[in-house]
Amino acid sequence: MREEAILFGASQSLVGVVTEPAENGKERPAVILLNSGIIHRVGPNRLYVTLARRLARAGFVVLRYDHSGIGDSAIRRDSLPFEKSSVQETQEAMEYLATTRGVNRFLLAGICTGAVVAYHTARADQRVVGVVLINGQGYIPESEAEVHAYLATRHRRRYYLARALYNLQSWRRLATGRVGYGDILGALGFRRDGRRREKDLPNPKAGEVAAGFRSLADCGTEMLFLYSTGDPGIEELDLILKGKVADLSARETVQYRVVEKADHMFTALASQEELLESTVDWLQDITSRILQGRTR
Amino acid sequence: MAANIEAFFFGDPATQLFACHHPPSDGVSEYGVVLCYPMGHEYLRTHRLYRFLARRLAAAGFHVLRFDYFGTGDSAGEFEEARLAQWVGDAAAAMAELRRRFLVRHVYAAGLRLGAAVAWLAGVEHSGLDGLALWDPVSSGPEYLDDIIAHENERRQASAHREAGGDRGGRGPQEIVGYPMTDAMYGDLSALDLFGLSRVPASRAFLVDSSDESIQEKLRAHLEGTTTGVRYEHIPHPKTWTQDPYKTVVPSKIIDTVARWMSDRER
Repeated sequence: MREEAILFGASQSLVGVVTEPAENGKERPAVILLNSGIIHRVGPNRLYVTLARRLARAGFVVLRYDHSGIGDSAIRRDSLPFEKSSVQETQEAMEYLATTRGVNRFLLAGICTGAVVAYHTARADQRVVGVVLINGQGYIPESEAEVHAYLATRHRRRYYLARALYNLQSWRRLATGRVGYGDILGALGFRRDGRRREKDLPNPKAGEVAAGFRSLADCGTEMLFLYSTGDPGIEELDLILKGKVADLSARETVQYRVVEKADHMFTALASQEELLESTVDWLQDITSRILQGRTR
Repeated sequence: MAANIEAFFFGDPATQLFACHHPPSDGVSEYGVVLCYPMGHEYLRTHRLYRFLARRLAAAGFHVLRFDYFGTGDSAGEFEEARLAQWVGDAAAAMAELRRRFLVRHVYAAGLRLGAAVAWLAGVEHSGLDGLALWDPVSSGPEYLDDIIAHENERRQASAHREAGGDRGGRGPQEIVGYPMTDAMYGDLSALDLFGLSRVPASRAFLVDSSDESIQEKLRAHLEGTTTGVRYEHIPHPKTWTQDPYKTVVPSKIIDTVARWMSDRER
């Protein structure tokens, strides 16, 4: 296994590290790891580094890099919104690997927003043959507060609130400083007496995302939905698919797994190990099928 | 517009270290700074701050080298293999790399929390520095361990899952906020004591204390008692290293103060 630091992209300002097997891995799809929020390319608790090295030992070429403005990559000088620039930059990462490593099929993986970027890139680019969507949150754009409020009304409300208190600092729109318990309840859509405010979640975007997932499945794109127990992303997916997650995960190319006793960023070492094993096993499994021509 | 940074690995391939070089704004300089990161979850939470500090120092005319210790970040090795002495050696190697690769003649070092302690110790190994900036330094390993263990315990208590403690007979948990804590590293940190060092390995030193309570006064007295050319600044700011990266407010006043102190080379 060897690792190389690279600069790539239109302005040669995206910083990444390619991890690759000692011998050529170009017959397999390459794996690209996508930033989890604004955590730089090493990933939460260095998970992306560990994952990249395990995958390289299993024969994959792996690239982890920083989107513009994150980690070591320079900010963009144009006004392209993140939703578009992140897809474009992921495509630039694919171009780089195609040019330098001769790989033309790709597997994308990401935690949280990394999952969302993986989804959108897979929708935009047919070279993506599989995605690992880990604790994906934010598939439904511009509705974070509404989604959170809605999710808090669900049957897992108690659990969700407990997590909300713990994860307070992770929530950009909630974490504005020394926020009290009442403020949290308010932000989640509750009155201070703990009763839910009447709030529906009319969001046409959810239907578009559901159609997107089904379209990927129809095209034979391999998908692994991987969640920590009780992660709010589970409820978002449930909302997107209108409670029919099982219908999607029944498809041959779709898998849905939950890592027990894990938080959103897999802080506990045992949960990190389970995440890594699940991801590596699944990627090896689908790659075997791809190489045998049993899927695209 | 700032020049693009350069990213590269240096050192022996088996133990290669990842580094980012920020070139000086005017392109040529004999002055350089090595930035030493803190450890574990604090590294992740302050990475952005370091990038801002590096850019500011590059704008002030320094070659700036940020690097990851062995077993951390993008560098070779696993965190479980890491030892404090190796990190000190890595920092000294980064100082030598700065001289070799960029023809720097005047080497400075700066670090936050454990990174400050590593920079100090590496300065000794490197046979001297032109300047050393200590930002909220970890001066006592045992106190630092107490602090990060308390953080881990707080996390476990708040966790929705009942996680096993994994305590080793009063020597703290086997993992701390997402990273393993080996017996070897626990021992290394337990032995860390900056007060036991006779002097700062630099012609001048800068101590920044961002705590509300001025908790670095004791170290300030120690520095002033053993070294000339010491400057101290108390600039209160929330603890960046305990905050989520999403909500971190970059301490620009501290960054500016450090950069101005380093730029004031004639003193």
